[in-house]
Amino acid sequence: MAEELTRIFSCRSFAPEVNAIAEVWSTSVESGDTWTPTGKTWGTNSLPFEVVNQNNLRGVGKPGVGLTADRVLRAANEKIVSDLAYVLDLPVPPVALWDRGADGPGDQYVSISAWAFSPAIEWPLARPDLSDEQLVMASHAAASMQVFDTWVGAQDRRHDHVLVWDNGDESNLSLAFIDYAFSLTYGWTHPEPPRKKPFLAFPNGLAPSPDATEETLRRIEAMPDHQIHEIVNRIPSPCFVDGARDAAIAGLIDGRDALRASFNLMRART
Amino acid sequence: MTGTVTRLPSGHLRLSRVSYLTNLLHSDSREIPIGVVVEVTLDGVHGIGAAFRPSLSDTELDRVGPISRKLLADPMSGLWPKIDAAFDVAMPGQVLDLLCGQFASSLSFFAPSPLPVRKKWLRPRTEEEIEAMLHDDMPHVLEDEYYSLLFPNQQICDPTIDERLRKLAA
Repeated sequence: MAEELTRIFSCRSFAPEVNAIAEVWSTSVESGDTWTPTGKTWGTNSLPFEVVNQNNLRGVGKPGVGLTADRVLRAANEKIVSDLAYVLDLPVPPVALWDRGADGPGDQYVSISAWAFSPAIEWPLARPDLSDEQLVMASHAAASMQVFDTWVGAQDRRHDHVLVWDNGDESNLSLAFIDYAFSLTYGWTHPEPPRKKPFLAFPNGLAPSPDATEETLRRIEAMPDHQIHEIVNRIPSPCFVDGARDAAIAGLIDGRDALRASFNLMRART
Repeated sequence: MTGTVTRLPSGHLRLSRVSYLTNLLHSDSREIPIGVVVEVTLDGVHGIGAAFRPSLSDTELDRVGPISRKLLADPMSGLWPKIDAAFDVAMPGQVLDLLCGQFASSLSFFAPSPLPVRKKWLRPRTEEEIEAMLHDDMPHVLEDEYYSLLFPNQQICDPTIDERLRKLAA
């Protein structure tokens, strides 16, 4: 039943082996794998690069070497958001940290994100081919993720950060929401309240799903303080700058408690 | 002190490889090369060109997801409109960056890398002359990169090449 609820509200339906990976990575900092960069890089703003482990599992590392120091805590943000999403059954792929050593190139810790499924295609490319049934499912996921994105202060949401499982199954929809480097402390300072109103929903242009909004609010509100502390506190210190860990914890706890009011305000306006 | 100030022509040429990763989860899987896209900015002229394989084999298409298959059955027909649209909205010199963000999963436009700008492109000329020169030279650049970067050790059929050059707004 819980699995069915998740399928309906979040479209988290990853490949079985990725679910197994998520189960392990979501409760640990590092994966215990040996990662090797392949030389492939993408041109987006965190300069992501491909890595493979000893079993040929692909992952996407961030930040890439050569990125100008901009104090964006990419590794910490990606890891915390992924772990929170796992607890909430929301469709953010699993993330582990990779310690490259303090003397290596670039940041000591990078985040390694697993792909959720294969093959994948970006939402804008997939949308024209989706069935009406799939678009309804997407509207639930968009509503769920709007609540989550608002909670974690996700600043860099775009339609091409929503991936669709390109598997030809028109009766189901599997989505993966990627790239949370610019979230949490990127826009937060402690003790400033983290947010005033809901963020935009992605994908947008779909009929809103109040049930999905309510279900996700309920799940986030049910997350106890100690679980938030645990997820943030296990991130190694080199991933943070001064005060950022406290700001992340405070932002998540304060934000959790203020989230429903933000969405009630949105409903009142609409 | 007297002197003369002359504006030196400047230019940038960047290339992005395009591939389809048939299995995003595992690296011991087939990567299907699709082609290359090149962007040039040269002293008031902005251009983009692409060299893609004319078609994929049936075996390759079988390994492509159903939605992506529509784009890649004829890569130039499927992808050139996306490139053209990016050209219309991106700042000169940033078209490849935009495309890299739009295609970053199974079908990937990988991070752009700089290519050397031909010296003759940097000689002072009118914009019309630069455009004419690029129209002549860009197909050769594309073809060279297509063969050397994507298929270094293989004999393949000729790529389909398209290009577009446009003056920058004054």
